[in-house]
Amino acid sequence: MFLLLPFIIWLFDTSVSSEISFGKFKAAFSVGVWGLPGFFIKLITLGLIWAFLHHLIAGLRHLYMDATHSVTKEFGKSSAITVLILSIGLTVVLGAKLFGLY
Amino acid sequence: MSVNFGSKRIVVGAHYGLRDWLAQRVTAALIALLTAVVLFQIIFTSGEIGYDKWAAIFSGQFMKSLTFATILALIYHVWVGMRDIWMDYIKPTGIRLFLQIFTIVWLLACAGWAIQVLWRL
Repeated sequence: MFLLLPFIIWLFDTSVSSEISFGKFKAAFSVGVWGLPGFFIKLITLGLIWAFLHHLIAGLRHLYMDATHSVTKEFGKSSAITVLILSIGLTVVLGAKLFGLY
Repeated sequence: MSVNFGSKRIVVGAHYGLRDWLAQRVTAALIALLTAVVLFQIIFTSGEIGYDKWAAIFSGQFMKSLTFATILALIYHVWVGMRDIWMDYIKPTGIRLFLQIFTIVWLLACAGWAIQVLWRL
């Protein structure tokens, strides 16, 4: 996420700046951009979505543990598994949308 | 165990205790809030979202200001996180200093670009 920050800002830039740049934004995901095919751009984006979701949900786990002092070994393990299941599950749903399965 | 508090405290790294802990959570909450607000608008917009509807999400003054604050929060959040990685895993001072400076320059450049995009909307 740190190294791909410029790619994220590029997506923001092209998608909001103008109708023409919005066209470029859409084209990046279909015909591709920078010599990379569209499906590869989608794959990178999906990787970023997963990283973000995992980080977000793991962060909520931290906040929950801070607030309720749930720091037992058992809760640590079960909540870590919950984070994995939720983040991968949501990523699969969004990935199916991104690749046009529904 | 050796004493590592009071006048005997070994001082390494940066900002012990509450400040970074709290900053990391407050900035995270702001990022989560913006994510929720943008997702909410996408989900409750009827019809296909083309350029107009997408750009309109960010062009109002309230969303512009919230997005601006979130960009700054994100940059600070990433700085604390990356700095912690360098402090935990990179022991040679020279390499650590280089990576820390690189991180700062990288993040400032990214913040400048993101704010530039936001401000010409």
